[in-house]
Amino acid sequence: MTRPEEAPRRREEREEEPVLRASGLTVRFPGQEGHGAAVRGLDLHVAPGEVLALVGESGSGKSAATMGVLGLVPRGTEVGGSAVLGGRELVGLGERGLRGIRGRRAAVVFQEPMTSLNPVFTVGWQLREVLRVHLGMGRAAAHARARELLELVGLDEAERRLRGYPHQLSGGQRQRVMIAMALACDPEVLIADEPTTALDVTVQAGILRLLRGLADRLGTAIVLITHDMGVVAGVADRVVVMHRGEAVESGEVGRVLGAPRHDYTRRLLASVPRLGASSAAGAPPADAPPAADSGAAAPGSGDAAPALAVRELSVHYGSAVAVSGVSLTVARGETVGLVGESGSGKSTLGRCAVGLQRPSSGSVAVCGTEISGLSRRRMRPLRRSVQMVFQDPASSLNPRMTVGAMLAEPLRRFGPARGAALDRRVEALLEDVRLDPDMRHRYPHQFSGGQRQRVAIARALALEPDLLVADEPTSALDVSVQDEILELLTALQREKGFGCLFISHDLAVVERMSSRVAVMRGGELVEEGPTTRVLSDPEHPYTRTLLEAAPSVDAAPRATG
Amino acid sequence: MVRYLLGRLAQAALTLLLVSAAVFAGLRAMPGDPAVLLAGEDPDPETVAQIRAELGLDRPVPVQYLVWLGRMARLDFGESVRTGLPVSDTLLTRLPVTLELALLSLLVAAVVGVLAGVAAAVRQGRPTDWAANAGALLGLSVPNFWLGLMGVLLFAVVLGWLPASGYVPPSESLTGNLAGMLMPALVLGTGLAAVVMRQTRSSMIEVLGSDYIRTARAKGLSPARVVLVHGLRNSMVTVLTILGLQLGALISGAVVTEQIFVLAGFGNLMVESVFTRDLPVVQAAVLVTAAGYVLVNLAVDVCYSLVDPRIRIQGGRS
Repeated sequence: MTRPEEAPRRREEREEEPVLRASGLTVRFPGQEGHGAAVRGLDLHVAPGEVLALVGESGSGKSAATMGVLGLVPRGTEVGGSAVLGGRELVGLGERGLRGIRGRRAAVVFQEPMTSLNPVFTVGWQLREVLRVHLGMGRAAAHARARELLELVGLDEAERRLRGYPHQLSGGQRQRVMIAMALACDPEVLIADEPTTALDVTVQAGILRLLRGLADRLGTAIVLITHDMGVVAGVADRVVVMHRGEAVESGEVGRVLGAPRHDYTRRLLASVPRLGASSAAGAPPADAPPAADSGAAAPGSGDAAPALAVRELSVHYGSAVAVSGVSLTVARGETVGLVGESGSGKSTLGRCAVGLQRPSSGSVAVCGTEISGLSRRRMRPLRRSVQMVFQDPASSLNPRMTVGAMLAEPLRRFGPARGAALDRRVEALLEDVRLDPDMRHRYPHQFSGGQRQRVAIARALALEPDLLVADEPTSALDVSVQDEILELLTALQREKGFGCLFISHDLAVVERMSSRVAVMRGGELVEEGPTTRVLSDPEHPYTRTLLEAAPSVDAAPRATG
Repeated sequence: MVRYLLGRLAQAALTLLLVSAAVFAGLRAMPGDPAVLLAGEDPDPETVAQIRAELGLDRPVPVQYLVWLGRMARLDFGESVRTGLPVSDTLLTRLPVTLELALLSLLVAAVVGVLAGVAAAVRQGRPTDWAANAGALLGLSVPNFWLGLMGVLLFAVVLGWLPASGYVPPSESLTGNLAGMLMPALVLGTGLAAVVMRQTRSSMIEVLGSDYIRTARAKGLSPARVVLVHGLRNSMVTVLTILGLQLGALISGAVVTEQIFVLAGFGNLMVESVFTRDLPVVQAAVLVTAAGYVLVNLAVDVCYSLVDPRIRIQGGRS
């Protein structure tokens, strides 16, 4: 450390003197003149060695507040009120003054580790740059410090990593590099803006442990911006809950999560999916026997082929194996959860199921029809029986088509409906997903994220498919919206009786949706069985690891000290 | 990397073969018999037939092509029908002029275009951006010959600062050489500078919106460092592509520019030779030009990997 003698002093200051204190902070983006500001009158403080969680849904102003203070906002943004960092007022400091603060006294770690590092420079170069610019270090000194930093954040083979480029690292490793870069000048405050949202749960757990450890060991004050209550419960000391630009509640983590006072906090906590909640609440909706197609319902019942039957499926990309010998069945009216981390092959399996990916070997049958060997042309009539809902509704809907046109397209392609009949069908679809039929004249950008996902579901269900593959359908959504979408999918399945392959990294969501669950790792199916059994009594060690890594709201607040 | 280069060179050879066939066929399809032109005023058919036989023009076109191709492969370009001098000598005297013109124009285009493009991207939607775009539109729409003539009129005739025409070899006088080449290079470079500016601008705007630029700002770097170090190198791939592809436009532009400034370059040679049906010279000149174009674009592709390490890794595997 460059200033080791300061560390103990800082730790003593803890609880007494906050290193960062914002009072009456207001952030107003350009174009928000007529409306409410992004942040209105926010008060917060964080002491050395403390982790403060800033929680809220998208648009709550949690990122705007911290980025506004550091001037990392679009030109023309008005920042008002006060934010004092170690005795220095930051509001009104100007770009030049803030430049001396950023990276040196207050550093930031962003959400997207994959894109936050410059792809054309080596990791070492990017680390040394901060040290050269802020501390005027020479090459050798900067190199030694960079190496020390990589070791501090738990990256092995530091010397080799320094010479390498970001694209040679995994997401978790890149996030560690980002943290190392943020710590380079031993800042007083580290702002971590959704640092683990893009990462797998097991990787997330490691990063969170690292952040907590840095606060404890180095006495760095950490502002952790997150939407995930489980993350808050795992690492934070105190929490500020934000809603529409204002702090609605703040306090010790245990108190806020255990006994929330504000109505919004209570609602937010209630919409967080909890592991074990479904079984505790009795029969989960997905367990209920489907009303429609009762004859084809039970898995293995002889008189109708299952919605999806995958046998010994393998997919190779060149020499890389994405899926290896996986067998899986989804009955009509049943939801099977497919769990795994990035690179486990779960999405590739999903793409095979809808015929978007050609398997290298094995068979994929939809409603008894083998689709794996079919040509593009022969596949076309089968497209109506398998549909997919993707993760990102913002980019999977055509921005230049109205929602009505988008829904009418497959109907016209596969069905006889024309004119008024077609219009009525489109209206009915929108009603099915609880959207106002008048919305059919709108374009995707005029919808919220949750509404867009409803449109995507309506599009997928337009042809009344027998199988719906939902690939992380709620991962890009806020928890309260996620709750509604999951509710909708469950209700629609009960009405229409389609089989559903539900792909997700979130065990709690999978538990809520599915009657059976399959766990994938490195292209292989490691465990499969009834959801309640797999999640309560996992057989495979990897399933246990996943369960342990999953952040939980109900986790005991971390032991202090 | 070696495998990649070998593959690309094979591709280049194929391209040149196709170009040679197209040029050969095209020139044979052109009206006007070189033998008739060479036979002088009012030729008698026997003389013409004799000349045709000497030049091998009486044989079938495919045979002519194969004979010519065989010579080309041995780098034997033959003799000029008009002057009787070896084509290779003619090419070698003309090549440096055009090469210098092209390189200087490329330099002008790269410097002016990249600087203006970066400035426009950084000040997007503000007067600098507006001015740069207006300048680019002007550069694209004003024809080279008009710009050249106006330049000659102002700087040579009225002000007398620069020579109006002619080429001074750098071995004689470097300053004289540069003074003579300045105006042609600027004239030829403007159009390309405009294209480069537009490409740099759009590519920079995209790069400046990326996450690693936000990271660079969060590191507390100065705006100049953020833009020129972190931004520019990432947008260089696009700019390099454009520079390589625009080389063709540069060569056709050189034909006009060399005429205006009376530079005895490649473009000039091609125009003369086409008019006099000096087929060996035209064929060789076009082929050499095509080879230059193909090589430059190969060099550009190799440069990608120097600019962007991600491409290096993939290039190494392929």
